Amino acid sequence: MVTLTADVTQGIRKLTQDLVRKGLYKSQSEVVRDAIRQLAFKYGVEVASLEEVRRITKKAVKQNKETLAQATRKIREEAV
Amino acid sequence: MKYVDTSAFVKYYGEEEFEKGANKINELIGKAKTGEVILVSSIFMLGEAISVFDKWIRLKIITEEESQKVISRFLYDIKELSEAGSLILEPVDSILMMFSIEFVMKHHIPINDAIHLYTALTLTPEIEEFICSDEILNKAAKEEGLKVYSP
Repeated sequence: MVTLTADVTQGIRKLTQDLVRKGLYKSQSEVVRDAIRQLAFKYGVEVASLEEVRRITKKAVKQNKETLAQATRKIREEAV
Repeated sequence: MKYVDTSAFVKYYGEEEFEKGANKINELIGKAKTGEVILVSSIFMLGEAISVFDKWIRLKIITEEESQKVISRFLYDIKELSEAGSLILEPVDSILMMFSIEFVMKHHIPINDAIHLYTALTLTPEIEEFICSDEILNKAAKEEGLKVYSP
């Protein structure tokens, strides 16, 4: 872990304290970490490229011996 | 407006070589991303697609980390399309569930299929095409008068 120092308003400080007080997070640091993770997701940072995802699904489809459409059918049949 | 079911949407994450129709879905979602096409589906699609990807962990085919990558990418695409107004996800409520049960008995299809079918029918005539890669669901959709496209 590294330390990141940031200036925040009293309102933001109170918000992070409230989130911890409500038991949603263990610490204010965890609030900040989660907020940054959500920002990264929002802007697509660190989201895997389609090419990488397709490489993973190709491996899964080959090993599982069923296409994505067939896998969807199985999920539907299993849900019954 | 085109209805897209899970069996068709997941092809976006495949390659034509091992997933027939992947190129067509790639083109369709590309058009949706530029606002040329508006897609609609049931919110149920999220659960179904994630179940497909998550099952691969249970089968020890991919790692947790790989699964996380696939699911995050899927959710990111859904978010992007939804925020752009190019993908409308219809909710599932108790009324829809009751009417879908009728389709289970009428067409002898699983409830997931029936939910997609009923959701699409509630949106006709706005739905110009029912895009689905599942023979069982396509047969029922045709019988209900939907114009079916199977990529």
